[in-house]
Amino acid sequence: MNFTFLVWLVAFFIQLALLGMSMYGLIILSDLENDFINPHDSSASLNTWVMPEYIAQGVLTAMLLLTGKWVSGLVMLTLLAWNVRTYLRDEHKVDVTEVFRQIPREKNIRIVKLVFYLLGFVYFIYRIVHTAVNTFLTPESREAAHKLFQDAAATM
Amino acid sequence: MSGNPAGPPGYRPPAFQGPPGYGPPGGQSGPPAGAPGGYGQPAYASSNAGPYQSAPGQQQGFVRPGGAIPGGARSAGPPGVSASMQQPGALGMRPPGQMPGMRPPGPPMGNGAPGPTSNGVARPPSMRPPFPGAAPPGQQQGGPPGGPRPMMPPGGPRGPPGSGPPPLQRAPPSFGAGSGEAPGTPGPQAAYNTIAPPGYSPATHSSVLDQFDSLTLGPSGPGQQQDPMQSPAYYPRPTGEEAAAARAPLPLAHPGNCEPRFMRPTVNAVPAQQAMRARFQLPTGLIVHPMAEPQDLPVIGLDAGGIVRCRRCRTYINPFVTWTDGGRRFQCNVCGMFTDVPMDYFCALDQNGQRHDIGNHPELTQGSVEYLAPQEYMVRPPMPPRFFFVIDVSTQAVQSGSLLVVCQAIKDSLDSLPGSSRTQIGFLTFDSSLHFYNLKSSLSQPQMLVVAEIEEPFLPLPDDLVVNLHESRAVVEALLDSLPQMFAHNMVVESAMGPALQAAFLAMQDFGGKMLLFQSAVPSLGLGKIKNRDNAALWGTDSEHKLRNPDDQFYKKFAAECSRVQIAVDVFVLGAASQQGMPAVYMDMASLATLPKYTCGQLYSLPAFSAKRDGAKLAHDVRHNLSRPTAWEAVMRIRCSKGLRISSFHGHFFIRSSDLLALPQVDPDKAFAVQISHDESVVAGPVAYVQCALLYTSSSGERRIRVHTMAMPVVAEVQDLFRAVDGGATLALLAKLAMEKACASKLDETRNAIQTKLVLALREYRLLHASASRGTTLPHNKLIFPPSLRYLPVWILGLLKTPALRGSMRDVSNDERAAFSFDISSASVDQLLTWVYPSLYPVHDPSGDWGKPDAQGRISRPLPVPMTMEAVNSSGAYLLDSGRIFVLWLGSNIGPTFMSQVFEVDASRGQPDGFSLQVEPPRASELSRRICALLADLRRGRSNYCGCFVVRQGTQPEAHVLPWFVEDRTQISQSYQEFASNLQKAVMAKS
Repeated sequence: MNFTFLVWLVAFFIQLALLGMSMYGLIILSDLENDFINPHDSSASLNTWVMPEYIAQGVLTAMLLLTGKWVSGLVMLTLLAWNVRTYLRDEHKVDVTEVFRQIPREKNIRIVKLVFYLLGFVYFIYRIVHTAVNTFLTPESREAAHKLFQDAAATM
Repeated sequence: MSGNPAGPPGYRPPAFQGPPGYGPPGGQSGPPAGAPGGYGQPAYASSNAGPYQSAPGQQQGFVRPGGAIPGGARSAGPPGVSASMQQPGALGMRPPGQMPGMRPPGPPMGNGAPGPTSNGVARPPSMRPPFPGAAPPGQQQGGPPGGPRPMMPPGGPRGPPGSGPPPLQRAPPSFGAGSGEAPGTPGPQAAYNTIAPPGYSPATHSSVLDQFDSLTLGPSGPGQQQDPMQSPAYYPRPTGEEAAAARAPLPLAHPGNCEPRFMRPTVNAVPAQQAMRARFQLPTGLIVHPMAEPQDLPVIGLDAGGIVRCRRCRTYINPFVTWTDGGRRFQCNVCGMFTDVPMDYFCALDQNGQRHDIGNHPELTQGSVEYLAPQEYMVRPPMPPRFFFVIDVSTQAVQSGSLLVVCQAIKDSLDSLPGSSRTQIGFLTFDSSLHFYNLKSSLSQPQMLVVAEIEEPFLPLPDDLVVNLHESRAVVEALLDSLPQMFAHNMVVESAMGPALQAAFLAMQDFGGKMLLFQSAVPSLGLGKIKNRDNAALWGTDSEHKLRNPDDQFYKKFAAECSRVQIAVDVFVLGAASQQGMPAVYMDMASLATLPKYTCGQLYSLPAFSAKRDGAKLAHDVRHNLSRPTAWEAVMRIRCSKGLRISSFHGHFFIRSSDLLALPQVDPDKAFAVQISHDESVVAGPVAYVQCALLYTSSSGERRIRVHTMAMPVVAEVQDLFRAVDGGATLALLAKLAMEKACASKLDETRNAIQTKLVLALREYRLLHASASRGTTLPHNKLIFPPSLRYLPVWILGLLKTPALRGSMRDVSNDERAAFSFDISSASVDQLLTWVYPSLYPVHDPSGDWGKPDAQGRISRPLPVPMTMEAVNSSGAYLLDSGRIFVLWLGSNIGPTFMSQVFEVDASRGQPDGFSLQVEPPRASELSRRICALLADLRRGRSNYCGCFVVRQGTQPEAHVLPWFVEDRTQISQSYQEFASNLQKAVMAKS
């Protein structure tokens, strides 16, 4: 198993988890807006996932930077920096007494993160495939695949 | 001002054409609009004859604008008259009667035929009195039968603009500085006597627009003389004859509305478009006071056909719904949905489209009703009233004497606790450890259980910590008797408040109830301990607001948990003085206030507590807190018409869902404010509705729903909003918004924000007039404002001078600021208006009737004088009512007769200082008795105890009194004159 491939694969799964967390947060927030859940429960479930999310983001960034994936690593670092800033300002947890006033802001943050994660997600898929093609295929089969794609494009 | 010869403050919004359903389907012609009917009948009478709904004239007036209208000389409106102006008010915005200091109704204006016109002339004398509640409901609503109705169909009589100028003294634009008044009129009151209070008449376009008040500030041009009438003595202020009218709410828009004491709108109209609200600049909303005294609502029992609600929006049935299908269905006035009437509730309709049995259903005629709620409205059996006392017994509490006062006050209140035999009670005391008390009824003496574990407090007993008061009365009394002695020699200075709260939470979490915390020492152990963060260096920085927010997350989390299990926390902060005669120690009131803030509790602050000085106040506050009518485990929801929504809530509560407030307990001392905004860009008119429903458990164990409904006209012009604005309620909403803003920004920015709102609103108003007056320019030295907002500037000036907003850290301690701003957030409009502009009653003048009971036993009051040192006489004596304490201010040249009559001291033997003088009890002289009667009258109906202190002019304690003279300049604030001229400059500045 190729090491680079493994890095991209792990990054992909972490990104998938982050994607899930932000979607979960959005669902909780819209439930709260629509009165399907009370503020006590919603803040509890939102706050449970704050630290896992930050840690996952930290692990992902560290892994990318340590293995020399500079571009994606630095992009991920920006989000990590934002997370650290939020944490240091003690704004990372939802305040149950103010939750309704925080809904628009929390939602926007999560939507931005969702887009960010989605782009990362696509990028990691691309890198996985790219690495797989580069490492697991022999030159001949690569040639064959290239031809196959060209034919497919021509028929379109 | 022209166009309002009658002068009553009869604001009547245009285009208020009645809610759908005022007319019967088909709208048959009724008698002429001006004919008797409608208001002639006592609307609240229980007679089967439908009240206002069945007034045929009214129907015609609404349904068929072009019908036969006697006196309706329908002169063609001038070209360019806007559509909304064409429809003068209907649906009786009731003028609140003749106000004091007002001219009697003048001749009808305009060239219309005589008869009831829209100008408000020929109003029956039976108008709703300016003070709701002053008369029984029946009298309030009903005029004498057959009285002419001051209402008019749309498009009624109207004079062309400029024709027949009304004989008015208040001609535009030179009112204010004494137009029509002989110069040299003595005193501001006299100057104001001719001014009609807020009101307008939509008679003509020009008169509508010309109705503004103005204030001349500075010379009209360079080199010109200052007009002597421009003296600040003629500025508008809520004193003298105007005092009561200034504070009074707007008249009801409709007799089916709830009274303003329950819901008081800041603008008695709803803008049709979102853009209008933005142009209006002032916040729009309501001050909601669901439990306002007196508690005299009609109660609808379980057997009255059930609780009928709209099936879509769940609005409760109210006087504004429309009946269809012969009474089998009704149309919801809030969302427009048709709902089938339940079988038990059905009743056939009469020829007017009203139910025959309307007299038996108060919910169909009255704006405020109370339902007994069936099983569906309970998630558990109604809880008993439950009180849990958490008392600090550290050495500070013992030395200041608060422990003794508290125990005595609780003991005195045991008989008046609500709930009779169901009441439950429990106690916990703490210093560095927690002391629980087993109050089992079989014990002869309470059993004390000490828990020293404060990291994770636990209950030493599974039950018997909270017991039924009725059964354990003897044990409880024994405990209260022994507590002060038990801890009389307690030398512990530490205080484990956080753990004590957690332990109390454990004891109460099954059913909830009310937790009363008496905190004397600075909390120093366990969770929630207080750090001294009273840091002057933070002032003026971006972190300044942190001083006004809780320091420790514990407070917010604990408060939210309490709200979840229906616990309300009342906090009595009885901080000791740091040293003898020194200011109080820092108690971090901002953190402590968080507990009551989210649980609808109350914060009592008695800094530097000493039993000798503050004991009476503490005892009164405890007794009042324990005996007032209390609603338990309540939720409150406010619904409003389609297109509108409640955009924010202000007060003390926990928001449980976007429009549901959780109130573990609520009582008459709690008011809330809401802001209403547009959900859609246009609101379909002609009427918009707001309904507030409070579901609660009464102290007697019934589940009840209190419903207040209010209708407001939808208006299409910004002018109409300025006409319908309620200055007092607007001030209250502004104040509550400011308290919220101060928690997130600097105090300076908060003050600026309030002033900016006022400036923008007045600028908008000026622009409206500038564009309407077509060429005639408004003098640049005149401040122009709507009559309805004439007192708002001085009230805002007063608001800026309250301890919550004035100065910086040097001027007001953070604790005092936090306590005051907590009170503002839950204050009712009347309370707030007294706090921002206190009343100063001259009591040296024995002429007049003040202080003597009249035939009904009511005590009349002297006319208050302006809150400025220039208005007081140094040889007089004045009773200052600040809403929180009374001060008898004695001029430096006060005569010896007064001193001997009121205080029975011999003034010839030197002047005693204020501390040694007591106003009460009344002495033998008549003057003393009258002053005490006045004091007693002012205290009546007030929730907080107001002690009376005596201050002599020129002595050191006078420094504490001076901030209440809101019109005077101080080192940190402007005088009224400066404020007004700065306001004018800001209004005139190019934006």
